[in-house]
Amino acid sequence: MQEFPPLFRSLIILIAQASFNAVIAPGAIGLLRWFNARLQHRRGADIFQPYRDLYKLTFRRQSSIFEPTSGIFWIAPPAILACYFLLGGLLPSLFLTDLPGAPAPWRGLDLLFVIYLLGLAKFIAGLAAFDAATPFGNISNGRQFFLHLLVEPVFLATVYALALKGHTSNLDRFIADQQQLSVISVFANPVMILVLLSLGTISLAENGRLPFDKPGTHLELTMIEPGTSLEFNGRGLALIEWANAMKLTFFVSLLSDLLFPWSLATKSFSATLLPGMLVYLVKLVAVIFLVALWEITRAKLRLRAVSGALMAALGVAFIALVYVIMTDYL
Amino acid sequence: MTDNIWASWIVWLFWIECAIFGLGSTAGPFLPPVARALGLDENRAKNWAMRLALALAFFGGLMTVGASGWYLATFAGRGEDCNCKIATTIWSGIDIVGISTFPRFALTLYVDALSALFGLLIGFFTACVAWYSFSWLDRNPRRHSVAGAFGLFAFSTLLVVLVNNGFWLLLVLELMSLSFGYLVLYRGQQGGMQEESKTAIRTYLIVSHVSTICLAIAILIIGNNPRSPSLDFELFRQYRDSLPPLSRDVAFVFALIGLGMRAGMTPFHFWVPVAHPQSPTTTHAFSLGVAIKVAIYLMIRFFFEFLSPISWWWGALLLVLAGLTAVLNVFYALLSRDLKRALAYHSVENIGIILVGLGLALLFGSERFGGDVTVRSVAGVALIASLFHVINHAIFKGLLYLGTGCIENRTHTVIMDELGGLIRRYPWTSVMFLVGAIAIAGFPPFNGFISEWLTLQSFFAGIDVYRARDLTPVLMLVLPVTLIMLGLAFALTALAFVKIAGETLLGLPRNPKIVAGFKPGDAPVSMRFVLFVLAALCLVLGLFPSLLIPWLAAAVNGIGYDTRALRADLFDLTIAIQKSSGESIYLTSLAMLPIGMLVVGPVATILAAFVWRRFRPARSSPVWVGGEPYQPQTMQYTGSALSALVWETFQKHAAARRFEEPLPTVFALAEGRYVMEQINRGYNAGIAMVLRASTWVGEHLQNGDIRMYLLYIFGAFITVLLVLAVAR
Repeated sequence: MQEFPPLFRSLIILIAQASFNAVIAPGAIGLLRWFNARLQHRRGADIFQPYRDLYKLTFRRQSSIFEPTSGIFWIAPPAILACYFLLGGLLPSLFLTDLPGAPAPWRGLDLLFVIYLLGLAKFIAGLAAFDAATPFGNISNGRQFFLHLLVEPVFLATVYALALKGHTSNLDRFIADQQQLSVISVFANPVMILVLLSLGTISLAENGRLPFDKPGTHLELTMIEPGTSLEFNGRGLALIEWANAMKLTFFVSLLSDLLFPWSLATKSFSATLLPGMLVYLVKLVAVIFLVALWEITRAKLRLRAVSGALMAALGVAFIALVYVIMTDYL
Repeated sequence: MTDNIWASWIVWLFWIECAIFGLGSTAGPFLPPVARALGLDENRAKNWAMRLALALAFFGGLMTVGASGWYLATFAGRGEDCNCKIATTIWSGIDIVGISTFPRFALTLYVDALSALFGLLIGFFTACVAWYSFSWLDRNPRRHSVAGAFGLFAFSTLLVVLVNNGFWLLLVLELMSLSFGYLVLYRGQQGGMQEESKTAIRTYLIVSHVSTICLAIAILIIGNNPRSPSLDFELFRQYRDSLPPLSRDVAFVFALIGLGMRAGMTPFHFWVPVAHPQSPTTTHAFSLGVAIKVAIYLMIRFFFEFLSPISWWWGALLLVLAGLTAVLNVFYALLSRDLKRALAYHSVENIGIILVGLGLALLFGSERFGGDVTVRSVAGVALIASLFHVINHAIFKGLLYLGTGCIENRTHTVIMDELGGLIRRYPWTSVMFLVGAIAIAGFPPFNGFISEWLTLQSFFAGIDVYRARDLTPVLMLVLPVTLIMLGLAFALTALAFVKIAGETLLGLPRNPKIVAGFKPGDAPVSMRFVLFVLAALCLVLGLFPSLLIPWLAAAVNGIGYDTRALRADLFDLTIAIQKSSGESIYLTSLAMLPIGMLVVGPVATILAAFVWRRFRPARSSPVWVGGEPYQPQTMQYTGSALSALVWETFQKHAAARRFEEPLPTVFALAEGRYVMEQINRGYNAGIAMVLRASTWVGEHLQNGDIRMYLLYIFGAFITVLLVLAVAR
């Protein structure tokens, strides 16, 4: 692999990583649902159910599009999918792309880029909902943007704390530095714990998990995240569902990367890749189990009360920030 | 004075362009009356006057682009010690009664990379707007005078960035105010709401005069230099170190008020959405996209050059004001129904983002951190971010305004909740408008993202400021709070532009009565062409920022800041802050390739979907709304409903909840006994005080709100850490 020009190598890494994430994403959702069901003493569908759903939507259902819509409506699902596909490829889940001294055409994932890419996906979803000329999609979109509005400052403050801690806002570089540390100094660091707390809250809010939204709900008047895809059907819906699965996988991998930064392959396609992949899957399952545990103990918050939870996350991010400044800079 | 003797021709070239603009502006309003006096057809005279004025503005604009582009291409990349500033005296002034200390009012034009950059912007947009106006002003009864006033406006705006003397600066600023003031009268002259028009012009003139007075005071304070009293900017630069610190601070405050008023900075933002929407939509792109940035140019000149040893609190003050500007104005924009008004508020919001960059540069470039190379090098990055956003905002806001012009030209309205479904009627205009909306919301792959990324990175890269122990508590509040306000503003912009674009362009028309008045067919090709150029620029600068950054760096180097911390090439933007020992303080990079893939990805997917669609066609079905008959005018979601959750929440928090409890009367004993009554009164008052205090505590300090308790923990935490830090 090393003899390839850096541009191609990076492209191959990106596409390999993105495809891997795209393939396992529905499985991750299925696993989360299965865990949830088991924890509630239900039998639950097996983890392959989301794959069957996607297959059914794509091949067994005819798509229909509302008459007033323009091209935006059917461009939206692939565009949203592209955003999350790209995020999945850029996040260091199998490889670290920022090799010290390597002339990589890109040097890992910038966390600010993540914030903007997540926003772009929501922006496109909002346009599509207006394009459908019906109220349902936009009821949820208004809520989605309300959440986005509360999440974005928290996310920025968290990234600021991380940047002050690691002297970079680049996730790959940050993780490469973390890998040099011992287990104790990663886990026993209050900053990392606080940052993980606020990032965890952000992840729950972004993915519409409890307590922000009830993922399995069928009531249009309360839903946030599932409501944005109400107007889509057939292939479009399949793409959006798949994109949402990728979003969940992205956040779970982000959390697991920060929790456990070791075991990522630093050289592409070397012998460490296979064990790295296994460790990654184990991390993923562990974090998903934690999410399921969290979810069975929570009830959904009132819509207007979510600001309190996110302000609490903002407070946590602020404390992390102040702690970093006090310990590292004074 | 110059590297190249030919370079001094640049100044003469600029002078010629100014003369061309001036010529055009006099031709516009004066030709028709002359024609009438001569007995010629007035309508044809108006046409020719308009064409002459616009053609002169167009060619003048193109020449300005050529001259500034040539200057920047020649001198960019020569670093800080490039001796390429050109000052040419056009008129040596007059000597009044032989008093040597009295200003001579010499007219000198001064070109360095900064003024060339702004010249480029002004020239480009003058050309764009002039080209566009040929169709837009066609058959407009006031076409000749609008074209003439626009020429004068462009002329004075170009002169503002070129003059090198306080007196002339104030004079051309006044000319700018008057020519724009004429344009503000436009909606009233067209038969718009007379009261609004009167309020607009009154507000505008008062604001511009107060701002000029403040700026004049600042110029006089700087000019009253003990070493060499003068109004000449060259001497301002030369003797800036001998200005007493107190007068420097006072001059800063006055300059900030004066220029902040012109830019629409927050305590003074009120006039922008009052005055600007009254002007013709075509010149709007110039007035709010470019002319308002002249205040930013002057801020850079004044703060970083004339007032140079900078106090640290200037930056902190500007940062807080800038953050407020961004958040408040985007919030007002969310509440507007009128497209022009909403966009005017957004311009002010973007001014806020630009000012955040300037504030960071002021803070990091201040005297306090003068010895710290690592902090000072971030000032250069922040200035580049700020200038990049100046250019980006001009491009996408120009695109949005000219797009609004097309919409107004076709539909005769700019009220958003009456429009809808324009993308099916006018696909080209609408797609360009959508590009502008995504760009201004700051999303990749368009240009807004790059400058917002740079602005945010300048926050992150300036981490070493926290090492200044005595300032840390203040900075620890100012920097993160501004960052959070900025984040809020970015998220609100996204929401606002989903609302604006969605409500106007997508769905179905919301007011079926006005649909009959819509003109068939898309906007004229000449108008669409300008939109296309601007939309393409949005994409090109978003994908290849390295094309522009050397020019911005040249402008920043010209005022004495190092920009080597930011490296831009085809594949990534890298910010590397290093100590002189080579130790890395901050290192991050933004890869351009994934942003490019963001373009390639959806295009490939759409192509694939096209193929698949032919293979398995989608069925088209009527809108289903739960079985009721579908009525687009009432059943579509409106923009204000979309944003209702946001503004309701904000209003709830904004309105202070007062707790008024009547005095408790249970303790009042029987009346009649004097002493007892006094005691009772005292007792009652005491009880009332205790009750009030306890209700106040319950309401404000211990109200069961988890955020409050977190704040206490946070406060206690800071206190303990501060005590520890001081004790150590």
